Amino acid sequence: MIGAITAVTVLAALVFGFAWLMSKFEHAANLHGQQGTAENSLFVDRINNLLPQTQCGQCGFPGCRPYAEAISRGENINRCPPGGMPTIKRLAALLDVPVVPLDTSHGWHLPKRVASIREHECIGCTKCIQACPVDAIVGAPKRMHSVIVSDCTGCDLCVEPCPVDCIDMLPMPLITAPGMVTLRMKK
Amino acid sequence: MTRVRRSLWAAKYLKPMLQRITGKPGWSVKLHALPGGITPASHKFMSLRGKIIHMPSGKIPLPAQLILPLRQHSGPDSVPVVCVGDYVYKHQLIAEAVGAQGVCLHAPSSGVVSSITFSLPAINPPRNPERSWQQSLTERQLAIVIDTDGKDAQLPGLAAPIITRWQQQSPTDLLQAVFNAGLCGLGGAGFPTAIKLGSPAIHTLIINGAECEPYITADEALMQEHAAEVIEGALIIQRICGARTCVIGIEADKQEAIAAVQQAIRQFDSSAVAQQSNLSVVLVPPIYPSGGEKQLIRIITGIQPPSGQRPVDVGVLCHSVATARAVYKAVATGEPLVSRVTTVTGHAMNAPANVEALIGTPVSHLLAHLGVDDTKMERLLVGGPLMGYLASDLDTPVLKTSNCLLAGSDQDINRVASDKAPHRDCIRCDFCASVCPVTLQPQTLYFAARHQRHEASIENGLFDCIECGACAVVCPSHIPLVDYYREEKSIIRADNHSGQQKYWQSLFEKHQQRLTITAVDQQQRKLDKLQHKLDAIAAGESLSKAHQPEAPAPIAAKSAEQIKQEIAAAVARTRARKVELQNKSEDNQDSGQ
Repeated sequence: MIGAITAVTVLAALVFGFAWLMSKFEHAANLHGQQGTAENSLFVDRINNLLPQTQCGQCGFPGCRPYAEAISRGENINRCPPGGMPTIKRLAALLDVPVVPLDTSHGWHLPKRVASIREHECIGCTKCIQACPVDAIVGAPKRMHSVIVSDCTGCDLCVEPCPVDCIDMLPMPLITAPGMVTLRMKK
Repeated sequence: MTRVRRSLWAAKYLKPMLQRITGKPGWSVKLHALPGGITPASHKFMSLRGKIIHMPSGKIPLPAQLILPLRQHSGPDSVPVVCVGDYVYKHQLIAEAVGAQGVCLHAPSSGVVSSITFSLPAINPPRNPERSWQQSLTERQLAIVIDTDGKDAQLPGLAAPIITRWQQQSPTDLLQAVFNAGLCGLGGAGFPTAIKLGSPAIHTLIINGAECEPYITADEALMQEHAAEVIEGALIIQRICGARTCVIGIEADKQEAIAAVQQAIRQFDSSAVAQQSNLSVVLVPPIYPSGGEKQLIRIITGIQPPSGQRPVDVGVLCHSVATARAVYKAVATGEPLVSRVTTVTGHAMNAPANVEALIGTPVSHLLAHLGVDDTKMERLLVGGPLMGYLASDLDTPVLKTSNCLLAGSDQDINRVASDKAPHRDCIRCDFCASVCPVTLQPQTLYFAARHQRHEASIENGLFDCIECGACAVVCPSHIPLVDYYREEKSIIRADNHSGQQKYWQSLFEKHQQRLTITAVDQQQRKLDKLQHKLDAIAAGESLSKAHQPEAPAPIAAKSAEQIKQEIAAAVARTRARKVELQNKSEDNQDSGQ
């Protein structure tokens, strides 16, 4: 009887120990690039929730979720300029890795800005609409385009494709205040 | 029995006698005890040797550049109303207030706006050397930079109207004058003054002259030299907010300041306003942090606003003496807030002094003209040794909220702020809890902050912490507790923005979905076309017939070359129009001038 109980206990301990070990391995596997498991997807979600969601691509990946996936595969955590130090600290806490300074080769951590189209100059080419990752620009071919300020993440991606350079990135309060049209900002 | 009789005697005879001598009933105010607090070495004598140095003067000339960050107050950034290249006069409005909590910004001197850029960081919070690089390298603030021309020219038309007889003005007009002058609290937090003054149902006004932090003497010097202006400012504030009583709380060890303020009150006694105002001076025990807003209110009135509420919510308004003087200037001389008294001190300074510095003056300019010993200056704090921020850069400007610049050796500052070398572990000695003026449990907060347990931090009253630094001073393990609290607060505040992030995330996901659907649709359409062709072949029709529409589609008819040419033409047209518009606007400007 006692033998049987001992055997069962030992077996149970072994099973749980194995499960625990597996979970450890799984965590390691997550960090080293095995995708496709449901748990990995949740892990990426948790990383993604810490990122600022500007979808600007300054990190070198096309959007925040792709960068989150890359981080789950072991990419550096200091490539997100819009997030800056607060994001790096929270990523470091989640992943249990040391805090490192922001890699400024990807950009500076600046206050939030918003795109603004100088509407009398817009020729209606729709190129900015195609570039916007969050569909925050409305317009139709050969018609004037406009930015939905509340949706704009300030990612800068619409500025480059504009053939007539009519898009400015303005600091957030400037755009909502009266008199912004008269403002000429130096870049 | 005798004691009771004696107190009765005092109430019956002594109190009226005192009142007759002083003319004030408030001398017998009973003070309330403050929990906790410390008494660090004051070091105040250093900067109190001379008079306040005024800034465009022989001793300290005008700096070549003035750097004016758009956020010098708590609230949204101001909006520039000048352009790069504009000439601005002294006292001209250069940035407008935005929203309810906005504050205006004025040019401290005349000159040309050379840029509106992300300037040097104005202030950077952490003072722990392990972490000091973190924000100083990456945080940037938008600022207006003025290249001064040395003329200090002022257009008379630009100045705000001078209100000579403010006693006869309505409180609304006075409030508007205060708002137009761009006032925010000069004590340190930078809360917009106009909002505070506009609060309803204020019964007590407290003027805060209890400058309790070591080294800082800006308010003390101000009371010594400009007591009359402070008192008149207090009376104006009282008229605006309608408080019944006005109490000036001064620390008991500032003897000269107390004498000056009493002298000024005596001079005002003749006027009718002073008779009605119920003005009194209260001596506050010199304990750090008795000069905190809520702490001073608690000492004088015994009122504690509930957690999450401001003192104005319980009917008490508290302003520092510096703010009172700025209110006087705004109303009686029409001068906006373009300068403030700042203490420049520390053991690295050859001649520590109080300076009436122009807002936006680079710190390096002040240090250079007051004589700084570079070998001794190991770090520079903006603010006092307990609550100040470490300046990363010597070109940091003086802000509306900078009451002190402390240039010192490590040893000098270390005496009160333990920020050298990594700290040791918490031994739960409870010293911090015994000195906390808000009766929090700093060690519990520390563990919650260190392990980022945000809910626990909030439960333990993180947002009631006034960051006075008393806990960090007494900590035997030299833990920079306040740095942990500041960081935790910033993380929790950032978390509050996650709603916007979720929204952007959903937009991005929808965008991706739409792209996928469009791509699939295109493929499907191609397949359909092929299928159609195959069907046609199977039916024996000739391909050309089946696929030749009667009228060619207008878009398909254009060749790639044609489209390219048309786009180029459109671009050229717009460029031409742009140039034309610019020329026109320049012409207008020329003719306007």
